[in-house]
Amino acid sequence: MAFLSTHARDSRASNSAARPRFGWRVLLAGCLLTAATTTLAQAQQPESAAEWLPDSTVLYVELEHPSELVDLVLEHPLRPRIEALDAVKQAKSEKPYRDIEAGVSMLEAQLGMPWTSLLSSVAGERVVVAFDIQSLGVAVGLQSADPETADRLLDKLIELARADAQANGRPDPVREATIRDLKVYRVGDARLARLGDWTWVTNKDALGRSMVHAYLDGRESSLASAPHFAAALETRQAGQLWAFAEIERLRILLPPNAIPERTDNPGAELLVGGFFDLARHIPYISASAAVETDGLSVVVATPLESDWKSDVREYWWGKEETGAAPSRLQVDNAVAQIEFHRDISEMWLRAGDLFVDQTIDQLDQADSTLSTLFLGADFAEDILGAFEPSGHLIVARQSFDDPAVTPDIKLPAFALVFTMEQPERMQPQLRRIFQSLIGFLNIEGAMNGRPQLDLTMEAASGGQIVGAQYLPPLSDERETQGLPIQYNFSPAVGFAGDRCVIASTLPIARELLQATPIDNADSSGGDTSATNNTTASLQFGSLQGILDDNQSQLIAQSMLDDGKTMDEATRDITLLIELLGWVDRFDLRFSHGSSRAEVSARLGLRLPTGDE
Amino acid sequence: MAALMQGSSLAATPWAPFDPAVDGAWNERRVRHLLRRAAFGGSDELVAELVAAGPAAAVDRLITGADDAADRRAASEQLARTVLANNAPKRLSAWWTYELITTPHPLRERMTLFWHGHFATGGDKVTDAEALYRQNRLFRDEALGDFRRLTHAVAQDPAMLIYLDSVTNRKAHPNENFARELMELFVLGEGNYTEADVQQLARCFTGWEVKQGRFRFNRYQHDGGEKSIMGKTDAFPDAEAVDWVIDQPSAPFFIVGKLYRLLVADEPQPSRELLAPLAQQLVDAEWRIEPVVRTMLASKQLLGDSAIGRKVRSPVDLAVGLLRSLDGITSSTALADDLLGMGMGLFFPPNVKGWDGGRTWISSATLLARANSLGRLIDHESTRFNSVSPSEYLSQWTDDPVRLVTELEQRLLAVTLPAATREKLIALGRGIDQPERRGRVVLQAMMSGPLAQLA
Repeated sequence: MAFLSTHARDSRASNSAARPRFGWRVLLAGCLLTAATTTLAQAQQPESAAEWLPDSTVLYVELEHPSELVDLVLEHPLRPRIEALDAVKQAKSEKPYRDIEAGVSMLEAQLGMPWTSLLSSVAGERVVVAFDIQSLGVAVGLQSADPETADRLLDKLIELARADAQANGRPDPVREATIRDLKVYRVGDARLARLGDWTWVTNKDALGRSMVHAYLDGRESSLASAPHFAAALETRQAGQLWAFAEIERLRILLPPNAIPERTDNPGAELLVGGFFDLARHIPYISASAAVETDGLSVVVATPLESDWKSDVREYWWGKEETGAAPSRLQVDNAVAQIEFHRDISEMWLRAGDLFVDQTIDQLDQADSTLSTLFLGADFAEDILGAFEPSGHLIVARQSFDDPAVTPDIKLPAFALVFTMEQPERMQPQLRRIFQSLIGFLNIEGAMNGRPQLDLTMEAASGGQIVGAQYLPPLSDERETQGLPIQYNFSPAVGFAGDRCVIASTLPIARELLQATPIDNADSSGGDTSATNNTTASLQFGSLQGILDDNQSQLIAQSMLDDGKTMDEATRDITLLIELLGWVDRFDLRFSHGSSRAEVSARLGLRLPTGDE
Repeated sequence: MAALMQGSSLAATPWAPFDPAVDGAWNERRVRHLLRRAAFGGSDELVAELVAAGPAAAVDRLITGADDAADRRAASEQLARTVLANNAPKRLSAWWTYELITTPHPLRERMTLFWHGHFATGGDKVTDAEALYRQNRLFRDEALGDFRRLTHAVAQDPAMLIYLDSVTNRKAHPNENFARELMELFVLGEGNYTEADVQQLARCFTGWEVKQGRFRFNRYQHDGGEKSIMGKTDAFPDAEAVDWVIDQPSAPFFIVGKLYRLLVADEPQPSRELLAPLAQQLVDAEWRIEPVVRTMLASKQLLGDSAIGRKVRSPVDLAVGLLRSLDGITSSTALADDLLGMGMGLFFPPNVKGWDGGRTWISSATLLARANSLGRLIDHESTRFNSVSPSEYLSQWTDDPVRLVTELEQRLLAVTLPAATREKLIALGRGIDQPERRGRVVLQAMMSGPLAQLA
């Protein structure tokens, strides 16, 4: 007998269309019929649901204690604030929300328990979702904390579903069968079975059948015993959610050249070039996620072997594969900070191996232009090669203290910080290039009626800053209160020791010349050889400030692009700015060691304090 | 001039005020006609208000705008200032589109648009959005104001001088562009001046330059000698030449003729006799536009049955009219792009002559562009009629396709649908199963048809 192979004629679709008012009941009953079980005591509970899944399972996601997650959300300190939002109040007053609320209330009344308790009963321990590539089946498993309650619930739900069908003149929607005395069900396309305190739903007979037999007889080879899965499980980190993907088997589904040898996007290559190497070789990845009151953390890990790092991307991984990002610098009002190891000089010279022909031609043209701009110096060797292969990119909110030079659109300042290999040789050269560039900009600006830059030079932090500032306009030059976008910039290049700062504004250049390093987060995963290749952070308080600085621009954009009234646009933008204030920061890190590579991310929330 | 107008009297002319007791009922149809001509259409609420008010009070209401028009203008200017930070004429185009859709003083915007087409200046050449905005504000300030003052201001307007390649104008080589357009396009019309007049008039504008986005008079480059222009020999100091051109007998006829084509009918060309009372009124009012516009809007000539459906809708009239008639709003950015695609980009007239209007709006290509643009407008995610989605708004009628067609026809069309067309639209509505699509499809089909192109 095929597992749940009853071909029940499902006439509910047509009937539900005719009687939409019962649709929600059928939907809820269908969802909660995942608790459909039968009582068989003879089988042993496995340590992991993976013991019942075939070793051809390529995707596995496990959520622990989902009811705790729900409790965390329901009792979260930000919840009262969210519920106080006008947009949320509005959504809660609309029909779709009210319908769901009414449906839940009715179900709770029928079952005699709140939905949170229901969730604890049905899936109190775990929820597992798996995909088997051999049968192309998806299986969803729910582990109950209390099998007796789940049994009662199952009976009640079957009773409800049947009563609903009977009231609507439809045939019994629940079909029953047995496999070696194990009762199984079919509702629509879903096959359901109770295996111990687990309830499983699948869309494929073959997958369901194999799981029932594994439950009854055990399984010689299962997902749990698969080497990749077992290895991934060993590196599992704390958190409610864990996922595994067998990349080796999934990769063969990709079309040829899905992971190209050479790209046409230098920016993507610079940012994630090393991942192209990984994508070609890694056999599996795993991910752990932890949700806590103050934020969400995710760690994605893969095995790593030296052979997988291509020679052409030595610029990315570093010599001897030890390229490390520098320690983060302390910067006030930073919006984004990225620290990286990239030997850009080497990447430029290896362009022929990394990029498609058209991109190589464009880079050749750029090389020629830049060499001219840099007074005949070889751009790749002499300019890029003069810096160590690691650096910082910093974006920070500006303070516009002088109304005479405050632009209408307020952009953040940004800067690059590098370490010079030969400061004595490089400083005069960069200073001269900067002065030439400002002269060129002034001539070009004068021809196009743009404001002029005034060169400045100042001592700072034991070094020197060469900068340029736009002169304030004559008072009657423009009618507008503010100034053009150019007034966001006061370009500068600064030197102190071997540190070189190339900045969009003088203030950030001054700050970065004396900025002190702070400790980066440790590379995790227990691999002591691991180095942080790239680290990044986004700080939402400063981002909120930038949006606040440009509120009138954002409101105007919303009015013109989205057809909003001024009141509507103001409300939307205010809400956006308020929401950003609830997030503290986002941190991202890519690290790699001798046997493991890892991307970790954390989104931190800004919890209300006692007086907020 | 007085002799020219001798015998003209408004009371005894087609420009006499419309009298419902004699000329026909003052009803919703006639109010919607007035609103299409003067205000790009109007909402049900405004229509009801004007029907109750009567013709004279309705025209008063259009001339003065809504009660909050002054406050809203300040907010509009603040929005423009914000948009100007991008210094992008196309962004300014989206701003003006927004104003056309939402303004509480649509007649002022109608006249601002008219002056923009009359004194045409384009963002493709004048890339300084600030200069374009200042010119646009001038048109709005003088929308119903003083034509003489407006023309003087335009003569020194940086955007206009840049557009006519008159950034520098030296006495050794007078630039004839502005002088020619002043007579041909702005004040007199073709045939009312000679080539010699152009050359002489051009000498008057030497030394008129633009520096750093501002008008500057360079006295060392100005030709202060005597010139002979249209029968008068003088040095024409300051801007007296502009006054002399405006004082020519053909000037008031040229201006009221253009206003006639804007408000009353595209064709045939109005006779000199028909225009004479208006020309007289313009001169008597010392070139103030508002009295003439008031006369035209309140007249039998405009409000009578014979004027209904006598104009071809411009793209702005078509799209903005649809929105204003259904109390609608949409993405101004997207609509501004579509207006450009339909040949009426705001701040982007085709040339110094502006838009020809009338039948030139319609060809097989422009009809297709209009249909596509309306489809995009109706289906755009940001489009709302009376604060709800088009589907939701139209759902009040979609259960009954006959009523759907009738309600839309009343609000949107100047002329009655022929029975066969009406039946086709009803059948189209009946053939669409999904109610949420039915209204939108019928609306688009109706507005894409030939009759919807008439105002």
